[in-house]
Amino acid sequence: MPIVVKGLSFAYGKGTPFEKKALDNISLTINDGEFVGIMGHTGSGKSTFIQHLNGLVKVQEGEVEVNGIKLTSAKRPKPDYKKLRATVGMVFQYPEYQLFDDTVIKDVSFGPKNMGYKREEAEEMARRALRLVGLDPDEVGEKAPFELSGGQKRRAAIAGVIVMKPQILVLDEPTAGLDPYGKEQILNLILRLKKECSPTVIVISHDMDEITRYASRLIVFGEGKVAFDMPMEQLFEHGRELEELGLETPTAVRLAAALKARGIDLGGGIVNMDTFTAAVLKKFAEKGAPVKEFSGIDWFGERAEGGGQGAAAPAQEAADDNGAADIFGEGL
Amino acid sequence: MRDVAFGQYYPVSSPVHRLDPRLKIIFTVLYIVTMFFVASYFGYALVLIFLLSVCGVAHVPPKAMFKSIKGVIILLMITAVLNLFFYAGETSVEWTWWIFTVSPEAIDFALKMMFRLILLIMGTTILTFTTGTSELTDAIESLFKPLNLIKIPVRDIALIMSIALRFIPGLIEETDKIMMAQKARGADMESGNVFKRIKAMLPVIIPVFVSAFRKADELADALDARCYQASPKRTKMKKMSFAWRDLVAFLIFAAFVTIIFLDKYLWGGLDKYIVEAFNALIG
Repeated sequence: MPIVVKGLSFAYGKGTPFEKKALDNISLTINDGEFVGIMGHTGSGKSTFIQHLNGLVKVQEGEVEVNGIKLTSAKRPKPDYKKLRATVGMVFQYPEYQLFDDTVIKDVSFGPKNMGYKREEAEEMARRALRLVGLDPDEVGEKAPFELSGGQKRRAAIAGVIVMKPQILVLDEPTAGLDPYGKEQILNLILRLKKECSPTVIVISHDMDEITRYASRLIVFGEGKVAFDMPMEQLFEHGRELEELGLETPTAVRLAAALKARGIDLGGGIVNMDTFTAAVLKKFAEKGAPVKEFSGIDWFGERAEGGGQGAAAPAQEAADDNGAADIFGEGL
Repeated sequence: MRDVAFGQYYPVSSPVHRLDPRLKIIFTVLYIVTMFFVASYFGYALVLIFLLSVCGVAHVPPKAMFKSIKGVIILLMITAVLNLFFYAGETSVEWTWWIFTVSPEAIDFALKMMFRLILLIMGTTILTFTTGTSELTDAIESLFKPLNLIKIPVRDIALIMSIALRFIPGLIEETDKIMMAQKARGADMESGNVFKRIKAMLPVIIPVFVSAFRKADELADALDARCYQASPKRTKMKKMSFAWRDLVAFLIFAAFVTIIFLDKYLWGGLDKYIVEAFNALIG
């Protein structure tokens, strides 16, 4: 079931000199199975918006409906927050800062325990979630969260959210503060989560190059309003307006534009490096150059077949792949 | 979390905001002392009028000032009740019921005590409403400068203070964020009895503590990396100096204090004249 938002407005510090309008009459629908990217500069209202999806801020004006759970400014009927929070998983910025318990397993099973699962059940769910994010529960389960490395901490924190098998997964800048390799891993993890656990994914990001590789639809926030909400190919025709909102078009789009200015037209549909490379290869093929089949850039040599191109994947990757099989066996 | 009224700066521009912060601190201290010399309801009314006018000049809505009492209302109630029943002075009439004894003097005393506390709190909040934290620490540093003579590191203390104050908004924000993150994981912090709620706060308190230590470490590193030391003689970005408006403020404040003292020592509490006049009117 989709997310339907109608006429949503929100202001911080209402009635004080600090009053600041964060959302201004937002209306949009997000369907099941979508991978939505949300963009916008700091203070554009995107964080406030996603907090509404989980009932973390009270609706002031308008209406939010998530899987049939309605949130309005009215006090009654009280929405079923527990169900809502089990439906929408929320990974905040730097989620590793929310780890608190003395072992990783206990921390990850915090959510299910809150939902009323028994300890054994909750810990079993936690084990599955850890495997799903690429951590070995036998190895890290009994460690204190603070003993883990930065990337592992973030994975553990994400496990603590997806452990409740949310149908909708919302992530606020999941790759902030990671190195390129760590980013790549988290993004691949999100794709896997989408396939195996949470069919609808909403990601906030600042990085155009990153988000365009994954999202199927981009929503751009500006000054508390939805500035753009359209498929990516169309969005990047509005390069100038995006710039005014403090956003850049992706490198691939700029490259294509630069080539076009020099007389090489790669055609439409270029949104990221994959589509750009494909278009360039097509161009070469047209000219009669021998071109191998292309199925997307293998950034870190991780796309299984034959071990990739040199960049040897660290051992951690092996754990990743083990975990991919049969997660949440009982079918979602 | 965000509507902590007590001690919050109210960011508007006004003559009161522009007063020398040192003077404002001195005024606040004198105000507190003066409050203990208020002898009559007339005096309390005068103090209230004074505070409201200061609010007016400072462009701070009086509502914000009254809100500052909210946090201590239970304390006020308890003191009022205790004063009412345990009044030890002379009494003219006594009304007794079971073990409780109440007299007009006790009521009078309890009321005055409550007014005194309320006005004390409201008065001191005006200082924090109109003075930013950095101004405040600068002023304190400047006022305590003489202590340098007896080898008290005033600058270091001022630095510690300003860092501590500087951290508060950040920590509140951090708490907010982590609270949201745990709520999103189904944490329930709003229902259950006191013990349950305290236990429910653990998933918030621990990460906030960890992050406070991390931030302190980072800040210490940043200070070290710049070879920062509080003690050597430093210049200030904003020099404090007295202006004509400080003189005006001083005269007004002096007039206010004088009336309060006149009311106590010369007129012996204006109330009795008011009561007499009132009696004469109806009698």
